[in-house]
Amino acid sequence: MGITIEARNLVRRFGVFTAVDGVSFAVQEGEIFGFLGPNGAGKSTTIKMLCGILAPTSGELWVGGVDVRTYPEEAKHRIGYMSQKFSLYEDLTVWENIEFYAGIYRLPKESKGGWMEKMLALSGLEEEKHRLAGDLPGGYKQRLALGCALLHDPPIIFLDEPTAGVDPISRRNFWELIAQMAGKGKTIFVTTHYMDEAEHCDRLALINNGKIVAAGTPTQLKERQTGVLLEVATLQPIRAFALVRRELPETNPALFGSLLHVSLSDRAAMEERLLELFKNENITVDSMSAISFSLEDVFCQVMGPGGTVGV
Amino acid sequence: MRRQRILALVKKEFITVRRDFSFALNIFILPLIMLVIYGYGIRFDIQYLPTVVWDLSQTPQSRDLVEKFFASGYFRAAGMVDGYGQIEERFDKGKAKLALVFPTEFGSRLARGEKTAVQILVDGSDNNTATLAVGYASGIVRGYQADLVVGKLVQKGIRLPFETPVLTEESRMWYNPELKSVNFIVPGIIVVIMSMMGTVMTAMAIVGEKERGTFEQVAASPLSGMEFLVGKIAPYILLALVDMILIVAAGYLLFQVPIKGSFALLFLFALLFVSVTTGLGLWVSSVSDSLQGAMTLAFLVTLLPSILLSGFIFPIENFPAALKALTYLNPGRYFIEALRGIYLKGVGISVLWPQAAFLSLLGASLLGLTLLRFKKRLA
Ligand SMILES: Nc1ncnc2c1ncn2[C@@H]1O[C@H](COP(=O)(O)OP(=O)(O)OP(=O)(O)O)[C@@H](O)[C@H]1O
Ligand SMILES: [Mg+2]
Repeated sequence: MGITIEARNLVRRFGVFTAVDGVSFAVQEGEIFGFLGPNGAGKSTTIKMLCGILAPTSGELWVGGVDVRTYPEEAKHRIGYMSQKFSLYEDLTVWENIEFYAGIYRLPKESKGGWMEKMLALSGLEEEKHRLAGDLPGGYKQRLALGCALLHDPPIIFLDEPTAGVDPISRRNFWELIAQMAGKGKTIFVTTHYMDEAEHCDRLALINNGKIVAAGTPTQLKERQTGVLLEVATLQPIRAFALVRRELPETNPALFGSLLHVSLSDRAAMEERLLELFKNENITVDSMSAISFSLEDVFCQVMGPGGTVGV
Repeated sequence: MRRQRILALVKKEFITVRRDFSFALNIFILPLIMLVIYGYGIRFDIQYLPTVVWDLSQTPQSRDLVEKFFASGYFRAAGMVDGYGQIEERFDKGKAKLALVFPTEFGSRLARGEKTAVQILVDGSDNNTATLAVGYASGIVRGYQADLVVGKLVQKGIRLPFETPVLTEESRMWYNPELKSVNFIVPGIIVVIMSMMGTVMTAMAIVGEKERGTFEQVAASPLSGMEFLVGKIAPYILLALVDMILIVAAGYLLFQVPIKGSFALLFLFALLFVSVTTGLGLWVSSVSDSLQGAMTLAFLVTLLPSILLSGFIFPIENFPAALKALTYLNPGRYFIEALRGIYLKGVGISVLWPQAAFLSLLGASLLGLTLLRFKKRLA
């Protein structure tokens, strides 16, 4: 198994603004590679450069063993792309959209009909075959977009926030599909906001402000965290959060529902200080216990003011 | 270039056109509406122009001349008036377009063989009509003068040594003897509609894909930029040609405007012209990034030149030199010349080859430039 997607020092500027700032990574064949980052981090910009639809300002990139900048059409044969915003024809029916892309990808006559039916079934849209794509609910649109992206059976698949705004059941089905494809040896590059989805990935890169701030398998990322994570249960979580953020920003406080997470590098010294703070501000602490890091904690840590984990 | 891809694009484009009511409106209804409005509305020829008379002389001579006016068919009686104020009022209300004013001594001076004049006032707000009206009116006056001269000679007993040499003025319009303005209008409308179809529709179809984001998906496919553009413009070239046939047919059926020349030549010119206008559409799409902007620019570069600078409404010969020079860059100018040549005179390529050459040159450079410039990228 070799490397099938590689970026080296990828940079993209829009005017004076640098959206992607020296990103490097490599994706193995058959891997599910997750790209995680907050809004505006540069995920879509990176994916568009990899798909050859946006020119990089500088840097190198290969997809399927092809230099995307010099042979974009070659690279495009090997990829399927599902954009963040629905970009099929809303005034065409489901079937007409599939037919259009079957023509664009020049599926051979003999197998064309079969593949089209197969993708229709994969999208679960047999009943909606003759509905206008624009009239489909969000989840269906996403499935249609995936079906069209897979129509030509590409070995590499780029998915830009494929499950944004989709209900939890559809999301689970979607990920089952993605796992199946990876099982068949397809390489999947996926961006997401969801932590539970990130757990499904073989490897992750966390991106913020156009830079990769952490990378590794989900387990590696969690294990790399130093110090202790404390979970604080209190009746005034929001006040507590504001307080800690003001007084002890280095603990990277984060709210998980009504629970406050803080990470302490030196538990013995810091715990006391924390309790004292709460006491002075009349915040009642119900319980406080050390827990293991979740991906979400890692995410908050890395994106927070504290900074970067070894890449 | 792969046929399968282009066919997929063309088919998709036709489905879109079929589903979008405003497209259908633009393609089929607009040309007909324009033809009917212009055909019935704009008159370059004059007929029965309402005319008022202020006759201060009240003599057989003045009545005689008035009669000649109304007998000509160009003017019709719209009443007698009494003073300039009334004339102005009639003009303002649109009740009259022309006024004849006879001075008190008109009859008596004529009878004495002295010089006199009839004053002709024209409502100049409609420039075309006014110019024509003055021309016809002075023709009638000259005819009347000639009659008077002959009458005088006969009266004095002078026998002319030849048959009555009555010189009547007869202006004859060549190629369009009935001076039917519809005959001029049909070629004009073909030019306007075809440049709108070619430029506006092409630009909107391409910018629309960018604005709606559908271009992003297409850009991620191995479809080449050239294939994309060919697949996008081919449907509109076809539709523009269909429109031309529609207008030609409607012109014949509604207004009895026949084609003297060859259909094949008409088609050849249409093809040349539409390649220029679609090229213009591609250029517009390459410089605008919103549908709104594309539409405005497309209308600006098509409607204005094709109506105002093509010779459709205003004759190019009357333009100031700078404007005249500009019309050489206007494809509409060549197409309208060719169309009028084919339509009205029935001339062939031996006469119209310069127009064909200029159109080819414009088309090739525009299409070539934009096809080379087009990048199948987002930015
Ligand atoms: N065409 C453009 N012109 C100017 N700025 C742009 C352009 N495209 C993206 N940006 C900016 O680049 C930054 C990164 O955008 P990008 O779409 O890559 O973020 P993202 O990580 O995909 O975010 P999201 O989660 O919201 O999709 C943003 O600040 C965005 O405003
Ligand atoms: Mg994005």
